[in-house]
Amino acid sequence: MELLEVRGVSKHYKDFSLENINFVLPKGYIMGYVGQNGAGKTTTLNLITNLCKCTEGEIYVDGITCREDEVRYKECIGYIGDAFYYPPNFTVKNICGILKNFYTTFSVEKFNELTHKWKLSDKMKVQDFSRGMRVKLMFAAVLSRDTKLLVLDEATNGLDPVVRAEVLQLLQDYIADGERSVIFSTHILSDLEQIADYIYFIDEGKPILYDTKDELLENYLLVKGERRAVTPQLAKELIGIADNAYGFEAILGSDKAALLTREMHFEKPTIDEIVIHYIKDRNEPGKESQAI
Amino acid sequence: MKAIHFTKIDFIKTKQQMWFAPIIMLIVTVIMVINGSSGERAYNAATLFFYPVFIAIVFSTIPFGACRREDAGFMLMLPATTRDRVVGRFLYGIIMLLLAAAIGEICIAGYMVLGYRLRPMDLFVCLIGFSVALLLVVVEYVFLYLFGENQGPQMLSLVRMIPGMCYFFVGLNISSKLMEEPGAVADAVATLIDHLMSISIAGVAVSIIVLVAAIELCVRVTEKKDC
Repeated sequence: MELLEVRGVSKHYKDFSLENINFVLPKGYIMGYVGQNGAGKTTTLNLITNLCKCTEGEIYVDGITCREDEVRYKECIGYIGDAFYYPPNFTVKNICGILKNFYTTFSVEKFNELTHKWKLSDKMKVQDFSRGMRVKLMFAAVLSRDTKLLVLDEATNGLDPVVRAEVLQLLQDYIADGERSVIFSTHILSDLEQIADYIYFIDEGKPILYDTKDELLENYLLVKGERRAVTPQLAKELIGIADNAYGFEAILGSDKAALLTREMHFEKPTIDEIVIHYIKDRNEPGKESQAI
Repeated sequence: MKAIHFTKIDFIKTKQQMWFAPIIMLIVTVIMVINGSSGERAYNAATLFFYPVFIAIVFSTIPFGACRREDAGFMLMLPATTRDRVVGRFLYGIIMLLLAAAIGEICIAGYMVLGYRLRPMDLFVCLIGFSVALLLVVVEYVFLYLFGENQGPQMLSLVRMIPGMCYFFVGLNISSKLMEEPGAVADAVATLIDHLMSISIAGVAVSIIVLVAAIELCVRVTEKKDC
């Protein structure tokens, strides 16, 4: 059963367009939404959270669109952004009071328990919190109510490894009951390697890759070798050829493995390597990887 | 119902700046009382009413300046409609005006204790003064919703100060003329004085109609806006 369905979504700005984004995220899974700066990650997440509106297409969360029932739609979503979004002069107590007023499922006990556990002072203004404390406060606010979908926009940026590990664990706990899902954008692709079930990769507003993480890792090979060993047929199939002191490195579809010669070495790539080579491929003049 | 919660958020957001308003009101009231309630230097009741209301007009736009782009993730994600958000903001302005009017009335009562003799015209001037103040706040809000909530500080200062200043000086001038030279304007206001109450109520009613229309306009504008 799908929790999030993004159907033919486009958004046009004067100098940027997000085009034809389609994906589904079933209940109980985590999707990593990746791309370079300015690729359209935040725009997509803003469309999902209805912070901005689609030019075309529809977004369903738990079967409803925001137009159908704005209040229920927003109740379903928990959002944690890169920027801390609570007004700086608010205290934890103020935030608790506001959330209690707005969210029918908000539990003051749960919120107090989390803020106490994470040592977030009740009376301190949030502007005096460290980056880690701010992220924890946003998590406390989201985890204290009954959300279905967690939307994280670069939420792990700037966190130290200990807090980052805690956050990743929180995300796994969040989906543990199989009823909730997470979509999260990040530059730290090693995080995705650890927890994501699906990967959606966009570049310049266009979708490039969309698959389960395991399929993606199965479907590609990282090829290394000497440049002279690359046959013209193989060169056509290699994605994002990068020359280095030892020869070249590129990505190749697993189904094209027969094209490799004995002089070449191949291994399982990381998500990081797949993404980097795809971006390199798209940046080569006259050679643009096809959008999905 | 959720609108009132947005009003609360606005009050929390503007808590720091809000300290200034009662302090300024208090200082002015003390100065007026020192000057006396009777004799040549006495102020008329309208001054006592207009000054706190003027402060309220100026301060009612503070929540617009307190909106940061980053807050959008919080404010816009709250499970409520655009109408709730807009009505909440307007309620903030109305509550500010009502508080100021209440302070003004308390000052007038204090003034009366000191010997000021209240006239029917005072009530008329206060009610019309309140209606005009409400209209000015509505105009300020509509302007800010139409041309962006996140205006620069210069634009905000202009929107904040110009209507307030006009209200204070023009309003005071007209009310003083009405109070001090009733003979000069007697013919013009004779009919008005006969229907003081109905005219005052009509003024308030017109303000409310304009307020409702303005809220509707702001809701539509905000719904069409995108980040």
